[in-house]
Amino acid sequence: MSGVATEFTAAAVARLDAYLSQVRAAVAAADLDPADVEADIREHVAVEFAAHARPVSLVELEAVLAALGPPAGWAPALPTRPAGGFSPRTVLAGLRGRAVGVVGVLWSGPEDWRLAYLCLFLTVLAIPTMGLSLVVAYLLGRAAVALAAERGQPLGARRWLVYPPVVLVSLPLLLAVTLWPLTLAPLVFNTAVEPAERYREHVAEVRDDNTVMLRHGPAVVRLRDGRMGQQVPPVPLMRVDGAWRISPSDRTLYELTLPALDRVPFRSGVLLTLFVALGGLLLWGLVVGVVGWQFPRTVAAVFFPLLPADGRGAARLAVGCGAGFIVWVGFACRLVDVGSRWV
Amino acid sequence: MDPDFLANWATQLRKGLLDLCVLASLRRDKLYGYDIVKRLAAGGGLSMGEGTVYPILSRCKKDGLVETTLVESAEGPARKYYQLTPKGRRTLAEMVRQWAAVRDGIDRVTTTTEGKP
Repeated sequence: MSGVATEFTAAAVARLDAYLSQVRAAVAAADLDPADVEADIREHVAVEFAAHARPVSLVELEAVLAALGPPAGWAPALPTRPAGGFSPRTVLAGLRGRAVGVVGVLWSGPEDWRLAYLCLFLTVLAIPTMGLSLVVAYLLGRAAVALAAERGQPLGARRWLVYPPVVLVSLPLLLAVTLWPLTLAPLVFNTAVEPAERYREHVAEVRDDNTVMLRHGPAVVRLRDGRMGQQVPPVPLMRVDGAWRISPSDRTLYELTLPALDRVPFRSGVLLTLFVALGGLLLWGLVVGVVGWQFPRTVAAVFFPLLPADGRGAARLAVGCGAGFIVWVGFACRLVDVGSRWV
Repeated sequence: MDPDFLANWATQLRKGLLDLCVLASLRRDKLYGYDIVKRLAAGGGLSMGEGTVYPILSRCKKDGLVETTLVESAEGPARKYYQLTPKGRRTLAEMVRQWAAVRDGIDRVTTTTEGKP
């Protein structure tokens, strides 16, 4: 729709809705398209008040509706049933006519409510269709919202039928767009716990006499021990024939060491992962906030009805995440500094 | 004479002729619904509820007598313009012919019986 939409007071909107509802009911049985008739009425009212500077009041609307006549007057008189006796053919024809009439009323009911009911139906249908119909329900929901906005109507009670599919799509989309940096956490975690795996790789061979042959010298092992903490008991190493090994008597001690080593890097890995994920979220929050700040209407339209279109929330998000990210970078630099001293 | 009877008779008379008037209003111009309503209301003698015109337009459209086009308007919502189809023009011509026959017949009857008890 183009041009200036006519504004109505809440009472006038309710009155127009009631009038249209009665007209739809009247014309549904008269083989007319209720949506077509409704569009005519809305156009008539809109043209009548095209030059109206202020919202149309109930009294002003009543005058126009009175000129249009009672809702029942919109339905042309139905042809009368020809006189005649009952026969199977006339009874069947009558039943068929009734059935067609009922389907017609259901199908050609109020257009805006039809959309809303269809939305809810397709949302429920998403359970057996593994979510496929949810996409259609979402599109219909957005169409219903756009239609109401185009007509200058509040959604009212229809939002209970329209919002569920819209939110069911918008919310996961919003979460995916804002929280996707968390998906990098497994990668960070694997990298963090890698030292324990590398420690195992130090074992070159376990001989028949239970001697553990190591790939590297004691410096490496001590370094790892030092990084893993004090829980790890030192493992005596021997150098025999140019190779480092753990004597059979100490092998049990070495094997006891491995799980202990696993636990320590796991905890460190979790903390490191959380820290890196927090940094990623803060940085991404800064990006999302700036985008939402600069393009508030677009972002609000994509994630309708979860975000406001004024951009103030996005600005707060950008500032908050930006400040948080600066603090995070400070901590990260300190951690890198400590880490470099370990190595 | 019962005034209710007269009012009802006049209403039925106008109703029967309204289809002809609606189609006739589109004979030269392409008009939108509101414009048709106002023209017919301004024509006088047809005093009918404005709401009676739209269902007729809707039915004529369904019967293929008129067709509609949506035209964007700078003053408000897009307007639905109605215009006669070739079938509508033929139907209108036939309706006018039949109306003229009825009118002439009535004129003859009312003229010859005028003044007689």
